[in-house]
This record gives sequence, structure tokens and C-alpha cells, in this order.
Amino acid sequence: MVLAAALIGGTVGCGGTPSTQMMRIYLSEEDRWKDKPLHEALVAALRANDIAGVTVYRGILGYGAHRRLHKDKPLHSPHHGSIMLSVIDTEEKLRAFLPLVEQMVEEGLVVFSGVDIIKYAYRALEVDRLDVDGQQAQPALGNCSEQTEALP
Amino acid sequence: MKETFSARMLRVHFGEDDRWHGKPLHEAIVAKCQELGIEEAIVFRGIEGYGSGSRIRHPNRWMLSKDAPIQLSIVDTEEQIGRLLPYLDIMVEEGLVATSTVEVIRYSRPLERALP
Repeated sequence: MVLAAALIGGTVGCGGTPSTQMMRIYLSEEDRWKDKPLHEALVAALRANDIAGVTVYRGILGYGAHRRLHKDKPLHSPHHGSIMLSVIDTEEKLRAFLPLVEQMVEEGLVVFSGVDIIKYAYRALEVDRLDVDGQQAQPALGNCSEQTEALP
Repeated sequence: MKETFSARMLRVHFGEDDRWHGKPLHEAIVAKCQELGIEEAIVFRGIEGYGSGSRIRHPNRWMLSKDAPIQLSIVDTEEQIGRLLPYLDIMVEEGLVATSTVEVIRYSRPLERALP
């Protein structure tokens, strides 16, 4: 709910509202922050800062700074792979989070690109929000009528 | 050290079964990227998908079966991406290549600290 609140309530891209960005953070699975895997620490920090959403991907092959090749190992062996975090929120919130990224990521790449949020739906966690027909209530896209009309 | 610059992101979608000269295609492309000095390359294996040729790529639950969808993502300047494209034309027989403009922040440790 806390996470969901970030994009609901008028911040989703209806005309004139802040632009939404995707921030991809590339790092290595070996990277640590206070003895914790860096990607886990970043996800915790993003969550604590009410960033709308993040997904962590483990690459099967890759390289980045210093051209060290990361190759995924077979099952049950320690991984030393490439990691990518994909984070989506408003440009403003992502930029506000950047100083933390700067502190935590010693080596890596942060890539920004513009995205259009077409749908941001979530299930209520605390309260059972079933409507009369027994269907899951859909949160409004910030009362963004232009957005709804644009959908086929 | 922190550097900020504008760059291109290129994503190539194909299948894990695709090969180039007997080698998995994604390994061959990553090797080519390294050779060309491309900044960043990372390969992801999808858990399900389909693409050109409409083959359903669906590795079984133990990941023993091949032909999972592969996404290769590359970040570098327009010029560097341009150097790679002719090779992709030859190497990717069936697949999709998508590019987009991105803004990049690169964090790097001083080289002496990175070396053991």
C-alpha cells in the first residue's frame, strides 16, 4: 500500500503531471553494502523511500566496469553474476533518491529512460476491497480520464 | 568517480538455442561487444515468451530444456552502438533489435583499488 501510494493520486502521467522514468542500475552480485548484498540493500532503501516499484534481474552473462566477464554458474554454486535493478517512479522521486544510489553504488552504471505508465493496479493488502459484484476493486489511475479514454 | 552522459540502449531479443559458429549466440555477441569496447552488456534469460516466428519459448521448470527467450541489453554511445549494428545484421538470423535514448550515470572505483 505504501508503495502503491507513490503512483496513485494524480502522479501518474495524465496531462501536465510529472514524467515517469525507468531507472536501471547495473551492478555485480558480489557488491556489498554493510555486509549485505548491494541489490538487497538497494531494494530495502527504495522501499523505505516509498519508490513505486523495483525488480531485480540476474543476468546469465555480462560485463561492465573494468570489463570483467560475469558468467552465471550452475545451480547451487555461489553466483557471481551481473545484476540489474529496474526501478519505476516519477522523475522527481527517482532524482531525489539518487544521492543514496551515489552513496551505495561504488561501481556501476545507472541508466535513465522515459516510460509511459499505462496501468498501475494493485490489490489492497490491509483491507479486503471487494465490490458488490465480488470483483477486485481497481484503484483509480489518479482520476486520469485522458489516460483511461486513450486505452483501447 | 562519477560521470554523466547521454547514450543509447540497445536490446536484442532472440532464443537461447540460436547459435553463431557453434557457440551460443548471446556468448558470441557479448564477445563481439567486448572486442569493440562496448561499455556495458548484460544477458537475461526469460522464463517465458515468444517472438519472431511465433515460437513459444518456454524452458521447463528445471531449466534443463533450452530455447528460453534471451534478452541482451547493451549501453554505449550512438557511435559505438553503430559499430556493433553491422555485426548484429549478420549474426542475428531471427530476432528483434530495439534501441532507445537513455541518460547514463557511471560510477567507478579508481583502477588501483579495483585490482587485487
